[in-house]
Amino acid sequence: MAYSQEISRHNKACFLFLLDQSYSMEEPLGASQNRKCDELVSALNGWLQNMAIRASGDSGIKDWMDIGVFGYRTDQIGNPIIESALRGPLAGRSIVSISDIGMNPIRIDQRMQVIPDEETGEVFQIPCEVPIWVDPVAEGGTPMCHMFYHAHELLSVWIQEHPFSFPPIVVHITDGESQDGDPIPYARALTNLATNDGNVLLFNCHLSMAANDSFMFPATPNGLPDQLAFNLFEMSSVLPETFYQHAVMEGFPLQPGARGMAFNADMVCLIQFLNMGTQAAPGLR
Amino acid sequence: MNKACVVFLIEEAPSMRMRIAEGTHSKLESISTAINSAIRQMDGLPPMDVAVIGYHRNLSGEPELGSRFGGKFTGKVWVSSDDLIANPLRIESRTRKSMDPATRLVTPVQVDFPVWFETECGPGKLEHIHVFRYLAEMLQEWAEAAQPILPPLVFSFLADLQPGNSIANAVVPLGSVSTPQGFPVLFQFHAGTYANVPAIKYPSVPQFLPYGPVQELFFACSPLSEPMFSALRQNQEFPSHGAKGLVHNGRMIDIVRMLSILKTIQTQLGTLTPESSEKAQGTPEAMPEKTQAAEKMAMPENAFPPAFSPTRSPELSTEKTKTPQMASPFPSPLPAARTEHSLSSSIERAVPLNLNVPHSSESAAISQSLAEKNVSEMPENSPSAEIGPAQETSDAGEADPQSVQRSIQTDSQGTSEIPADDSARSPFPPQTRINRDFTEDSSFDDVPRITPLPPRIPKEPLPAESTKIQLPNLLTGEINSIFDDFDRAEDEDDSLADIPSVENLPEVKSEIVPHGFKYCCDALPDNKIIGEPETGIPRQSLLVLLVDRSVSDLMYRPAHEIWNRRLEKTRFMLGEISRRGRGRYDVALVFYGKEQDGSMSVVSDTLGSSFICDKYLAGAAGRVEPMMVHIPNGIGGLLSLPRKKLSFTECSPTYPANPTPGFERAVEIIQEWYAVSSRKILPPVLLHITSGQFQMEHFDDALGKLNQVDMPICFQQWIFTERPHPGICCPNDEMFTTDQTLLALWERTDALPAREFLAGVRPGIHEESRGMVVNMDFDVLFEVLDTMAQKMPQS
Repeated sequence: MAYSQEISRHNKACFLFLLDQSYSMEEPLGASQNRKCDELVSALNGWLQNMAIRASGDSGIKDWMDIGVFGYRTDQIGNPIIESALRGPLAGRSIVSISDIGMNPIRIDQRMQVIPDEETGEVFQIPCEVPIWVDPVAEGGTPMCHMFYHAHELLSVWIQEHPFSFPPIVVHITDGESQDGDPIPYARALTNLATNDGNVLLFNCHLSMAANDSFMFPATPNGLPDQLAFNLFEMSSVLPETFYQHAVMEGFPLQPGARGMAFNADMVCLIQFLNMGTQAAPGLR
Repeated sequence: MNKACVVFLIEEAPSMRMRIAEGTHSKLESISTAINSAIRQMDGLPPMDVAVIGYHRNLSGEPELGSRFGGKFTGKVWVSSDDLIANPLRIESRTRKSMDPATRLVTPVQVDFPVWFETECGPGKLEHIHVFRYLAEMLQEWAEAAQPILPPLVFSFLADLQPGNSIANAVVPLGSVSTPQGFPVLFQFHAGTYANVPAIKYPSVPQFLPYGPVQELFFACSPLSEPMFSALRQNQEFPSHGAKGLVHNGRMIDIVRMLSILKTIQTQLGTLTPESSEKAQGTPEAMPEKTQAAEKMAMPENAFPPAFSPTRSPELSTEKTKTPQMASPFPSPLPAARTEHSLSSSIERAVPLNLNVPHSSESAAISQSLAEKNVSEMPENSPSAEIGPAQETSDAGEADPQSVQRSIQTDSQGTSEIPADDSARSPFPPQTRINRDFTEDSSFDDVPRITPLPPRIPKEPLPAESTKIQLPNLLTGEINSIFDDFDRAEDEDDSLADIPSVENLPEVKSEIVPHGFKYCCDALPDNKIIGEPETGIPRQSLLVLLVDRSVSDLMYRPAHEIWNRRLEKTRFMLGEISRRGRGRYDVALVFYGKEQDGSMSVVSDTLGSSFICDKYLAGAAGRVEPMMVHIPNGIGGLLSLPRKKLSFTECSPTYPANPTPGFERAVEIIQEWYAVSSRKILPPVLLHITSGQFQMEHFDDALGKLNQVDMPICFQQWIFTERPHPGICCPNDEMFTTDQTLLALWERTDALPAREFLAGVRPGIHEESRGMVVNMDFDVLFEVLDTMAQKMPQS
C-alpha cells in the first residue's frame, strides 16, 4: 500500500517548502493588517519549531526528517532568484536535517503571544521568545516554473538517496499566478517523481488579500472561483488515505478525492493547511 | 512674474488623515510641514513663483480646488517666493530635537516655524483629471505671462490610488503646456501608511512595480535629470540610471529628500540669466565659439529632462510666447493613434531623444507584454520528459524585462520622428479650458462625477422577463453579452447541465418537492420573550436582517448547501452582534420565501418581538450552539476560542420568491422602531441576505417600499451566489464583475456608511464603496457601526 512507510531515522521523511517571495507578498493577508510574507514566515517558523520539538528525545533531536525551504522571486531585471530561504548557519544549504534546524536558528526574537483568559473568555498578549529560521522577503516577480524545475532537481537527488522512504511532501505557498509560463507541466513532472512508497506529494496553498471564503482540500474543481484556482487544483496531489482520514478526524468536511490545496487562505487556513499537509505522515502524529 | 515657478499639488482626500508610515503625524500634516520647510529654504535664493494647490470634494460633492495660501495671499494662485518669505501666514512654535555636539545629548529646542498655507482633508476625493486640467491651464497662463527660463516644477502629493481612475490619462493635459525650455517636470509622491511596507523610490523600469495604479503612476511622472540626481545623492538617495520622479509608500524623510531637488534647481536659477536663456534658444552654429562656450558655462548641461536640441529655426526663437514643439514626456490618452508624418518638415524639430517616458503606444506595449506574462504558452515538454524552465521567454511570447525594454526603445525611436510644427499632429488632445468656478455649467460632463445614490425606483424598469437582465455597458453604451457567452459555455458543460435556468423554473408544485422535504420557517418553541428593562441609553440604530430563503432548485443538493451557508452566516452574525452588544443597537430578523402552496411567507416574530436590543439577543435565543473559532496566536500557531451561534428558527429553503412582502414587513418594523422613540441617532441599516434569485422588476417593486419611510434607510446587501464567483467586498465601481445580475444588485445598493472614514484604513474600502458583499464575511459591517457611532454628530 502506497504512502504507508513508517518514518524513521533509516527512512527519513522530506518536506520541501516553496515560498513565493514576489512583491505582491507585501500585501496584507486576509484583510488583516499584517503582510502575507510576515504571516507566512511566522507560520513556517512556528512549524519548524514544532517539528524540532517533536523530534526531540532523550538523546537529542532525532534525524528523522529532512527539510528544505526555498524562496523564489526575480531580481530587478527579471532574472529568477531561486535560493534557500534558511539563513544564519544554514544559509546556502538546500536540504538540511531536523537536528540542524533545531540547533541552528538565526536568532531568538521576542514576540507577543495571544493566549486566552480563562476568567473572561477574552484574549490577552504576553511576550514570549521564538526561534527564527526564515525571514520575510517580498520583491520582484513570480518565477514559479523555475522553482518547480529546481525542486525537481533537488528531489531527484534526494529520492536516489532514499528510495524506500515515505515520498517527499512539497508544500507550495503563493499568492498569484506564475509569470514565467504554465506551471502545470512542471508540477506534474515533480509529482511523477516517486520512491517505492509512492509519488511525490505536491500541496498548494493560495494566500488571499481579502477575507474571501476559503476553499480547503476541494475534491472537484466545481465551485472554484477562477482560473488560478483551477490551475492550483490541477497541480495539487490527491490526499493519500492517511491524510484524508486525519483531516476528517480533525473536523474538515472532506469528500473522497480531496486534493492538497487551499485557496483564498488566511492565516488560520495557512496554519491548518501546514498541519494537515504534513502531520498525517506515518510516524509524525 | 518670475522666470521660474514651482507648484505644490496636494490631494486632500480622506485617506490623507492617516498617520504617515514611521511617523507621528498625519500624511497631510507631514506633507504640509515639508512644503513649508521647503518654502522657508527658498530664502536668499533667486525668486520663483510659488503655488500651493489643494483639491478634494466637499460634503455636497462639489470640487474644492484652488490655492491654499492664507493671510495676505488668500486667493492668489501665484506668489513670488521673496514676497512669500516676507509674509508668512503665521509663525508657529515647534519643538525640534537638537543634539549638543559636546555632550551628545539630544534635547528639545523651541523654534519658530513659519507657515504659509492651510490645508485640510475633505470628505471626498476629486478626480485627478479635473486637477491636472486646472493645473495645465494655470501653467499655460503663467508661461504666457512670464518669460520662463526653466520649465515649471510640479510636486504632486497623492492620496491612496484607486484602480480605474487613470492617473496616466489624467496628466495628459500637461502635455499641452510647453515653455521654451520644455514641458513641466512632474514629480509624484504617495505617502505610505504601513511601516512594514517599504517605499518604492525613483524606479527606472515599470515592470516590477505593483500592477495597477502604481505601475500606471510610473508613466505619469518625469524622468530625473543630472542636477536632480545630484540633489538626491547629496541626501543619501541613489536612484539608478533612468529613474523617474516617483515615490510610492514614502516616509516623511522621502518628502524632504524629494523637495531638496527644488533647492538645487533654484540655486542653479541664478546662473541662468534671461540673456543666456535666449541665446540658448538660438542656433549654436550662428554664435561665435566664445559665446557658445560662455553659454555652455551659464546653462548647466542637461539641466532638465527634456534633452532639448538647440537646433531651431530662427523664426521660432524670436517668438517668446510661441512654444517649441517637442514630444511631451506625458502619455497621450489611451488608446493613442500613431500620427503619420513627413520628415520633410520645414522646421527641423527638436526631439527629446533620451526621454524615458513612453508614449501611450509604449505603455500599451508594456501593458500588453505584462498581460502576456499571465497568458504564456504551455511548454511542449510532457511531464515525463526532461523539463527545464523557459530560458528565452521572449521567444514564447512572454515578457521578459529585456524584451520589454527593447520594445520601449523601438517605440521611442518611432515616436521621435513625429513632426511637431503642426499642432494638429500633436500627440496630445486639443487643450480644453475648464471653468475654475465650478458652476453648474462647468465642463465636467465628459468625466464621471461622484454619482449620488441610485433612486430606489428606477425610472426605466429593467426587463421583467428574466433575472439575467442585460444592462447597457456603462463604458461603451452597448449591450454586454459577456454573461450570455458565459451561460452558453456553461450550458455546453455537462458538469453544470443539471442546474436549471432560473427563468425556466417551474411554478411551485408539491409533486416536485423532494421526498421528506418539509417547508418550514418556525420560531423555536423555547425562544424567550425578554421584557427589556429601561437602560436609559438610547438605541443608536436598528439593524434589520432580511433573509431571502430562496434557492433556484430545491431538487439540487448544492442549492441546499448554498442555503445552509446563508443561514449559518446569518446565525453567526447574530452571535457576533450579541457578543459585541452594548445596548447600542436594536436588531430585527425577517425571513421571506414561498411556501409549498405557492403563497408568500414572511416570518418576523422569531425574536419574540419585532426588534430587540442587541444585549438581550442571546437571552432570547431558543438554541445557543457552542462553536469554536480559531485565531492566530501570534507566533505561528492557532488559538481556539469558544463562541456562540444563536438560533431562533428552524428554516428551510424555498423556490425563488417575490421579495416585496419581505420588504413590506421590514418597512413596517422600521416605522415601528421610529415610532417608539424620537431619539434615534443613526439611520436604520437594512441588510438583505440573498442569492439574488428573483426577477428584477419584483425587486424594484420591493425597493419602492423603502420610500414609504420618510426617514433615511441604509440599504445593504450580502449575497451568496449559487454559481461560483470570486469574493467581493464593497466594490466602488461596476468593474468588479461581468455578472449582470450582481451588477444590477450593486446598482441598487446604497453606499457603505462611514466609508469616508474607513477608506484607506480598511483594505478594499474606498470613498465610493457600496455596501454589497459577495461570498465573503460581512465583518466590515461591525466596523461601520462602530465608526458611525464614533464619527457621526450626535443629534
